[in-house]
Amino acid sequence: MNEPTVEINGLGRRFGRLRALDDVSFSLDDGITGLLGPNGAGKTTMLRCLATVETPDTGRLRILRRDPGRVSERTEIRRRLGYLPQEPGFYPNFTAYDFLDYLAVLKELVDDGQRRREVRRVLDAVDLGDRAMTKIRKLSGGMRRRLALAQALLADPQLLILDEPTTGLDPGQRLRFRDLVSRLGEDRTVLLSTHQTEDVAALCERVIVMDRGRVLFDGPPRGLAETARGSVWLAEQRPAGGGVTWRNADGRYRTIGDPPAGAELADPTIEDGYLLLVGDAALADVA
Amino acid sequence: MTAATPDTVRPVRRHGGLRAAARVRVLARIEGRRLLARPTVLAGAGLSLLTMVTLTRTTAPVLNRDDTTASAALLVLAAATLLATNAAALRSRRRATDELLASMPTPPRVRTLASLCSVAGVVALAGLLGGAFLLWRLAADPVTAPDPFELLTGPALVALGGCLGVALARWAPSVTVAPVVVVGLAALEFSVNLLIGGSEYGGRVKWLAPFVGQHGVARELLIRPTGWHLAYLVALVAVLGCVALLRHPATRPTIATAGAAVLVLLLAGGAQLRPLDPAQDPNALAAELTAAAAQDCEQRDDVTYCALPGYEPWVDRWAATVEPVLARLPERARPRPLTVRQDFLGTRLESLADHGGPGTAAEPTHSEVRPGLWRGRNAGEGAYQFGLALGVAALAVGLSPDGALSPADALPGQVGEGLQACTPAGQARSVVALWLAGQTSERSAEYLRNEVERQGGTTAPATGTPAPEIYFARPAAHPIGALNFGGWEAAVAVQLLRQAPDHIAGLVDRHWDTLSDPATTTDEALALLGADYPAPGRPPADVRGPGSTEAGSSGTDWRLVACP
Repeated sequence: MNEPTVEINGLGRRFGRLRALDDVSFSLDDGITGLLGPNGAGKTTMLRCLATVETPDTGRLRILRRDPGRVSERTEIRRRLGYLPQEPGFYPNFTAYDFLDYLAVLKELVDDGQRRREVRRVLDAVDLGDRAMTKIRKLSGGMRRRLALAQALLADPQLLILDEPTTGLDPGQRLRFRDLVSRLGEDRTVLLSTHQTEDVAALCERVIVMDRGRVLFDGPPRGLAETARGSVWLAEQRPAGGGVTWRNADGRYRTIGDPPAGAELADPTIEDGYLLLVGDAALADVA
Repeated sequence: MTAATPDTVRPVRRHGGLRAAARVRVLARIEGRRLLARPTVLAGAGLSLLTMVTLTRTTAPVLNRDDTTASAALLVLAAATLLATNAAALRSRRRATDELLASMPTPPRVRTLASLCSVAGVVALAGLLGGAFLLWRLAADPVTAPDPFELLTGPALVALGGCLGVALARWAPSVTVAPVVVVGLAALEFSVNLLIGGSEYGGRVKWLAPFVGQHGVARELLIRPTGWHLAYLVALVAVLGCVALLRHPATRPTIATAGAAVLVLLLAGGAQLRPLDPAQDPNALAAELTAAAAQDCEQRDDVTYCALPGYEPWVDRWAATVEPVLARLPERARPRPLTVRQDFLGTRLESLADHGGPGTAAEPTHSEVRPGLWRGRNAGEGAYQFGLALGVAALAVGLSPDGALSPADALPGQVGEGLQACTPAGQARSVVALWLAGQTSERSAEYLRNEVERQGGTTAPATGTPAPEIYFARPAAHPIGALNFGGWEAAVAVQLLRQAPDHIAGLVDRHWDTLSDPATTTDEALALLGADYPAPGRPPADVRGPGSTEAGSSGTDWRLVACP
């Protein structure tokens, strides 16, 4: 049996008294996996560990069939890794091209012609080909986000780790992003951390929900939705009491939790499952 | 966004060392290009060039001084490079890309090495600036020869600044550190070169500073350990580079390089600090070089021109200034013998005397004019011609500081603290001397006119009062080094310059004995020369006669007496 691209067993990471990761275990193979969780759930720490920029305290981690604890193997992992941090940072005085060119060298693309072609390729991939020579300080927030995604695509990585990649993208760009990532996921492993359950629903074959450093759910998106079956209600009046309620486009009130008076059961969505799963933390995020 | 095309590329897989070297090369090229385009570096380069030009624009090229000037000017670029490399090396921290870069296969050590190597571009720029400056000076009849080590010191200073910027970024990663260090280094250089000052003989510890200037002392009298200092700087560059790299896990080549660099640093630093041989007394050297036997002397008509080794091309320039003065003098009044002998006077020999010998460098004779080691050019040419011509004219009319100066207090021709000077203010012969000097050339006349105007006097009798005293550039320290001319006489001379030179020369010839008599007053000269410039409302100088004491304008105690 082939070893999975990422294999995590009992991973733990503490920051002082805060337990950011607590006995996390899962494995990843080719395809797109969504990572959902409220703020502080440990998603970013998880991704940082996978990107080899954070070292776990406990547990076993193998990435691309290598041990990131060993310097030589860690370098090999980094050669095959594309990472989009939550806040990637930019050099405002660089042009988009120069920025990618610089990062391409750090990805060991030292041949000038090869690097030029690769930079052009990833710029085109994120629809920034015509902005190649624009200084980054003149790019919009969405363009910068796409540029950050472009750098993660350099050198054709086998493992793509994307931390909230759709933040700041307009609906059109988000659709194009979905198209791009879905194609990328056909022949490599993509781990996508997001707050956007629609992205998970649209893209991911699998979703992992984390909260307080632990994995609460690991399965297909449909399975996450199913966890809320029997807990999602539609009512004509805004119900009194607790739970999460919002008004739909049809004017009816959707409630997750206990049934309001006169309400009828509704088909659950991933978002319903997620909100029901992470409970208070998700409510705090919603608030 | 579109999907990734299938023809994507994978990084080149090579042997680890080769791959690292290739990355360093490419990154250094990228960083080097960016460094050269940084406004700080561009401004530093521009200011360095401007400094070179400003410091030398009005003087003729003396290459054994210009080489040090070039290095001094490149200190500005070195400071700019320090700031720029520091900012570049801190870029990932300032722009929060550390996390992203940490996920790359290229370790931070490679980036640091590339940052260090990227300084090469600015070093080359410094070399180009120095070279362009040298070419510019070479195109204008230069004298002496540059010291290659001095010339390389400037680029080495730039390399030092660049590597220090990177090292600071690695060990003190804050944007406020580099500007503070630049201010500290500027204070150090200011102390070494301006406050401590003095000659090379005042202590060798100053050579541990990055740059040590010539302090106005003639290069010929200095023993500058330029080769050792360059080796010291290069070793310092290597040490700083290694210090920057040692922020990352140490490698064997880095440790070996650091060890070798420290060894060279200690060796070269120690060699610079070796005390000078007491036999290398600068005053004795000055006397030796000024002696007729050591100089290349050339006889032209009645004048002997003696240049210091390397300065022979200036003889033609001196002759072109001296001859017009002699031509306007009555035959019987021409000083014979007349020698124009180049000297070190005016190059702060007094400070050498403090540290070296008794200060008895070859004293000038009564028939000598002694130009120093600089020559005016462009805007400074008129001043130079006027000053040199004034020396010859002063000898002709019998003006000499001899007897006015106290030999026990000073070297000949020096005016300063504890010294005495004389003034021919109020004497007719000073009008004649000033006119003779002014008529040498149009530039010389223009210089006299400008100085009379600039120093509070006026060339128009009806509109103002001449300055009591007027000061001129003194390229010939002897015999005019200690002569303070009166502003009234200068204004009269300007008036005479408006008349036909032959006419005035005829009057000077006719009344020579009277005009050159120290007892003849300026009023009397006006009548004899047909000038009508009225005497100012107050005396040109408060002179009471030989031996009287006055406080100098600078507040120091020096005596001003009437010239005998």
